Amino acid sequence: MLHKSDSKEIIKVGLILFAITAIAALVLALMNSVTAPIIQANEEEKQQLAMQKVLPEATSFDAENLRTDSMDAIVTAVYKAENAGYAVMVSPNGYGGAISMAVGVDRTGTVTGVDIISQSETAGLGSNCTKDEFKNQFIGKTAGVGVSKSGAKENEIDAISSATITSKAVATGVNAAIDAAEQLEKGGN
Amino acid sequence: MAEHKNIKVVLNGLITENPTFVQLLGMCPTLAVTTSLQNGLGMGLSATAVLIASNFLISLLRKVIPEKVRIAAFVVIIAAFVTLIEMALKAFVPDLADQLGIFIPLIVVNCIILARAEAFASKNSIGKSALDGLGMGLGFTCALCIISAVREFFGAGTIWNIPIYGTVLTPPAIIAMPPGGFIVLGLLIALINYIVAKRKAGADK
Amino acid sequence: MNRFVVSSSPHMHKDESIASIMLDVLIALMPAALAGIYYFGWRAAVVMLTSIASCLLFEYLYEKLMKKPITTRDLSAMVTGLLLGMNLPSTIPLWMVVVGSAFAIIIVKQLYGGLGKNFVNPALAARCFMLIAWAGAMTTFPEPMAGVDAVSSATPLAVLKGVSEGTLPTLRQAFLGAMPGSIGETSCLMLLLGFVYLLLRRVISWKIPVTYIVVFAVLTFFFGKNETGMEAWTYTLLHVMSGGLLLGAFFMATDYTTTPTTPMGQFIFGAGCGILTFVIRRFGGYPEGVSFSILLMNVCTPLIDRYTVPRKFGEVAKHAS
Repeated sequence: MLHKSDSKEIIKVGLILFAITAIAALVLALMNSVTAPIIQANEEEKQQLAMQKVLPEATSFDAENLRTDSMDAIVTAVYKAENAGYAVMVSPNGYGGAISMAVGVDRTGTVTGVDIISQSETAGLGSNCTKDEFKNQFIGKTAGVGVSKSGAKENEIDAISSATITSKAVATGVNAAIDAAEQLEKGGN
Repeated sequence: MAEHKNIKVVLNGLITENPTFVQLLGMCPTLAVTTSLQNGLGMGLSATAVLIASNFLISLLRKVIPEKVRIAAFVVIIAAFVTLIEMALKAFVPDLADQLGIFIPLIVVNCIILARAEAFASKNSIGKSALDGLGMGLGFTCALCIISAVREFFGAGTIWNIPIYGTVLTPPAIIAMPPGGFIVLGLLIALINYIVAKRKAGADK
Repeated sequence: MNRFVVSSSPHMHKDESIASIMLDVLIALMPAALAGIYYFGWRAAVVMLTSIASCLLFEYLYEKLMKKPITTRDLSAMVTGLLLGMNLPSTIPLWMVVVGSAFAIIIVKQLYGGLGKNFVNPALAARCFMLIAWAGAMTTFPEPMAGVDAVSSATPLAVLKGVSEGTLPTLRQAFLGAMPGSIGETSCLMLLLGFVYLLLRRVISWKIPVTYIVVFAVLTFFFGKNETGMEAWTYTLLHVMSGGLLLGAFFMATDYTTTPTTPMGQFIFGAGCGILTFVIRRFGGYPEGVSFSILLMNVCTPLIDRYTVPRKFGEVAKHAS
């Protein structure tokens, strides 16, 4: 059995802790209402920039995500640009986890640009996939891009040396993106 | 001499009881974020801001907070400040927020902050507590900056993202990876212990 | 001070000085090192000489600076240098070799108290450090007998694993050493010569190397991922002869200070290395796992030693009261 003074004590302690928590929550809510719109705007701008980079001809992108279930599971989002094509977000599995990248595909199914947004490949080997020499190889390629370890031929790219898995993963991502764009283009017309 | 004492409180955290090199507190962020000077400085300053604010508020409320629930109260206050800082960073310095990633929310569990709340702020005056937060925070920041500068220089060949030698020689990436964190931290602690021991020996003579 | 003092019991008197043991190891390594020069050219010799010279230099400098007795004459730094050099591709930039040697001698060996106190093998730790630090330069191997302008080519292990394309050596080529790889690891024949020499001189025991190789071979024979269409025994033999398995098993898994002293412990150590090497080569990200396996087992050595100390005669197992 609790003594009367004990239960009083518990209520008092509880109330004080409640007050501290309530004030903290209030302050956080205020701060959130100030920063939330800015944070959202920042994130949208970042995505716009990434999309602009892979689809240089685009002037603006539709906000609507056009991803459908018939697309490859590694396609995370697709945005349409007015008359320029599609920016496709894909995250294929590389050597050290998912590689998050944006691929620009024009209306004929040709790659206009590839950008690696985040990756955790082996430093010095797979991480070279962020370099322009590698990424820019994809520009102009069409469906079914292949990876070559000894001199790229038609519609092939040169693998990063000693990082075949990473190179193949990026190519897989690009192929899934082209496929997604072509599906939309066919469905749209 | 109140002024003299105040300086001493700050210096205590900065050097004598440096949270990283002497107390070995907060090793998780220390090892994880110190891959570049920018990250180290950002993490250090964010933690300093939380430390000063939480020390100040906890000292202010030290007579109100009941003994029994003090840890819970401390954690709520610290978590609130950390969340404030996270929102502010995301809104106004998004690049830094991206790089620090999960480590900003993890400031909540940085033992330096709870340790100072418990060991200092709950027993000392407001002004002194804020100064202690400043000293400890700067000590933490300095330590992170030293470690991250060394790791960035050797691991990436840059300082503050400015290339130093990376174009001529390939920097050993391992220094910027987790094993490098342990190696560099160990070597720096050894170096500091060596200097301290030498100075003590000198003072004894 | 030149006596070799091993701490854990049982204590047996050995009449060799450190220098004479090290000299035997150097002699035993010679055939494989020469084979490396034969297959990969003068650049291989330059790499090995650089690592030997820098290991000796860093040992001297550190001990001089710390005002410790200079131990370069016990030849242990020279062995570390030669082993490190033999574990590198012949095309590696020389400054990387110097940094690797500094890591081996200063960080792994001297900071822990010098010879006999380091808990992992310095040459191996340095090789792993370099592998992670400069993954590109450390995994680019030249074709053997192709001169200075050799193009990089895939090691047999990378081809067997399916991560690179290339031609596999024949068993004869693998036995002699005509395949891409680190300088001193390719020639099975020359490594065996050195191993037999060390056994005859009673410098090392057969227990760890033989257990290591047998356990690895059995696992590979029964559970290997053989996608090449060759027969299982050929596949297993190629796995045993390529990569650093023999060099590691003969010369690095037998290092006195970082391996168990009890016979039972040595069997456990060898088996552990064999299992780990198999697991890394079969399931891991790297095609080769010898260095990592031996390092991991080095770390386990104090534990193994503790649990395999022979019971004294008449001692009864303790019962929980």
